[in-house]
Amino acid sequence: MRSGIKKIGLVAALGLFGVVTTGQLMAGTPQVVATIQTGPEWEPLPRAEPLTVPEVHYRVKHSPYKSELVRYGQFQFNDASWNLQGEYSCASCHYERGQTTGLIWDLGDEGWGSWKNTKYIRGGRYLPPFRHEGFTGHPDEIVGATSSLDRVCGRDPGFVFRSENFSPLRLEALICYIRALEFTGSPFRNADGSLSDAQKRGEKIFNDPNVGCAECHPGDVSDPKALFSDAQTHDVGTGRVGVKGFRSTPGKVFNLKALEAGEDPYGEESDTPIIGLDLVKEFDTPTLRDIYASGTYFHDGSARLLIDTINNTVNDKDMHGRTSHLTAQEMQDLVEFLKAL
Amino acid sequence: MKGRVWLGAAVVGAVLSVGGVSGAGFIQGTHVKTDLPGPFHITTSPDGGTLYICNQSGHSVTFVDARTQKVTGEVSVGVQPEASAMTPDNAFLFVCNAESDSVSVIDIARKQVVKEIKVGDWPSGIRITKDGRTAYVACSGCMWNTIDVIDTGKMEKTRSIYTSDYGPRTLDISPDGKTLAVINDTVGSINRSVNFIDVDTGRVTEKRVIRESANLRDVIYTPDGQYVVVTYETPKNWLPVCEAENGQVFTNNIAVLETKAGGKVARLPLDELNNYDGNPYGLAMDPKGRYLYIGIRGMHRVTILDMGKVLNVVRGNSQSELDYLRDDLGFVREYLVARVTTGLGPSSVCLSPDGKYCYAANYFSNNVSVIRTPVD
Ligand code: HEC
Ligand code: HEC
Repeated sequence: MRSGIKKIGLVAALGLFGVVTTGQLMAGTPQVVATIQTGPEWEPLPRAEPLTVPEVHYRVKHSPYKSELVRYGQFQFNDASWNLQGEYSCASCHYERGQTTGLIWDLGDEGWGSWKNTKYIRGGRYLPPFRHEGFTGHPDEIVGATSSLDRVCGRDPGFVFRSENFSPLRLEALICYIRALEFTGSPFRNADGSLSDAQKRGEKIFNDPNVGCAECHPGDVSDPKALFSDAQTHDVGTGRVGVKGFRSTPGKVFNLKALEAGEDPYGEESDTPIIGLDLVKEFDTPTLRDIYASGTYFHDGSARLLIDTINNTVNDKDMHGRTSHLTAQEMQDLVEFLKAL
Repeated sequence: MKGRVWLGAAVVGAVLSVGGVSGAGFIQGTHVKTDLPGPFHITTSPDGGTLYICNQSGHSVTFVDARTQKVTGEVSVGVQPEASAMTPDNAFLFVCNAESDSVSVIDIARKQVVKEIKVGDWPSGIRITKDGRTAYVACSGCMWNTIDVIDTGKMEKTRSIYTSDYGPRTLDISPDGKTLAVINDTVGSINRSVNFIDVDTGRVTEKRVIRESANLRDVIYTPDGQYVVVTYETPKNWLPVCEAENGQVFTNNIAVLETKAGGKVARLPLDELNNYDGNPYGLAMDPKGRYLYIGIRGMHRVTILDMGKVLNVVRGNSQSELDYLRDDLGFVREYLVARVTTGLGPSSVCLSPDGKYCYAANYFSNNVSVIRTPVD
């Protein structure tokens, strides 16, 4: 942003708008007249040489709890000035605290037309493999996180971010920051951390072998380290390798109407315009921790509400747990249980 | 420390020493491990003499004497304070502890927390009525939709008002005190909404959608009560990102909404070609409504707009004409007064009561930029 100052000065010099940088101020021009330091002074580390593309898969050494690196990572996460023309930051998609805005994006590295739900990255360090398709899986969680970042924003930043690659230090700092983001914990349990009656009923259903949730989402609520994921990929009937190249199962966020009406589904006028195509049918089992805070669900955001993940409306029947025999009350209890994780 | 049993072992010591009662949540105290305070929100006392700064990572409120520009005190509150509001008599500061799901009440004279009030999930916005009797707290949890109402005298939560969608991020009270304007930053939605709520009945009287919007961050009424302004970002996620050209991954905008029922929603650009206002956050407007100040968190500056010119655009164009303006990368010059470079990460701005100074809380540089405004 230091170069930003120059840019503003230049634009002002061209008379485009009325800002002049400190040093050449005109009377009446809004300007910073004082800075009150209310905490330790802090400056970002120098940006250093960016990684070149072949080097991106270089594994960055990590130092998880070096707090200056965490802070630098947090800064980069929220900084738009490294992006071409200052459009947006990681926080625009992942929210300022590493949660998610729940938006689906076509980032393209698994084939264009394959929209993916922005991942909730809190607690992410616990859970390789990364990305919905799990293709950056690696038994070493750190390497997983690193390569996941490579793929999101390091492999070819020109694509998504129109920016230079990160330097190894910046990449390391981003990883430190993400690793420092803990799960937050549910506001829906009793104040002492115990489960409500509905949640207890839901827990029973969750662990019922006839329903089968625990097969892929194993975990014990009293264990603070439980992740409720087997860290494997499965076909749970959510992949949409659909008719004529388009997904065949309408999820609530997909605009099949536009398609049927013969309109351009990518057109800006469409209210909910996303139609995606999956190249695979197997997806990474996500953790269910903090599920109450992780926005729309499934790899493509097709499940708007928690109930949609289990009521067979956006996935093939009984492929994602066996739930079609459950009563409405039992389904609701299951949702209450999920909210408590 | 009841309420922390479950994750107790994982909670870092620094948080435990912050203290306080548990909120709606049962696990508190998970946050970024950093020793730096991270000023996230700033507000002034009604006389403008003191600035109150919520330190999101430092879990405290810093007091600054606005005249001497010296730090005069620091009070520990709950975890991750993200907003505060002062009673008009200058006696109490109500602070939203986002992660603790509570509101701390600071007795200003004693510089001490005198009460911690449990509220809904992730309180991140608060306003107090002119008579000082009521505080409205926006609880912005991803599966939460309440504005919790606090009786400031009793320091108790009295009821909850329900918004139409999840994630009410913050609110403003209309100048006549009759209506709340609430922004719902609803996860997953690309058409996020503003709710107008009747204070007496506690009902949503109108839900107005800002089409193609995400990341709603602040809302403010114009002094005449006829408009509200909202900061937000437009995600252009209907396109594969390879097709994104200028202004097609995200644009950064304000929305100006007529407050009358069914009124216009003008979505106006803050961006210029090669000079975008990445991540617009907090808002402030001077008492005469002449200028709008926007903290641009991602680009480390405060953008100042001429509100008279902004409103001329809104009044002079029909809704369909307005709809064309959002992506016009030349248009901001119609109403841009200045972009003032500040410290790093200005998330919140406020004004001195005479409107002559704008204060920006800089999250990353741990300081406050004092900006002399165009008001004379
Ligand atoms: C344009 C929106 C967007 C932006 C900006 C963005 N991300 Fe992402 N991010 C996504 C999406 C979508 C996914 C899921 C992709 C997938 O699974 O294929 C994702 C996934 C991730 C993951 C994998 C998490 C996991 O557990 O599998 C990490 C880590 C991540 N992003 C970090 C970042 C960082 C760091 C930045 C900034 C440098 C960033 N993202 C910017 C949209 C975005
Ligand atoms: C065969 C393994 C398997 C079983 C059985 C299973 N799940 Fe899943 N679950 C998955 C996978 C894989 C995904 C991700 C699907 C996708 O992204 O499209 C998932 C996703 C979810 C999600 C959405 C998480 C998110 O962040 O998007 C929820 C909630 C969930 N499962 C709950 C359940 C419940 C409740 C049951 C029991 C009824 C259950 N699962 C049974 C594998 C399984």
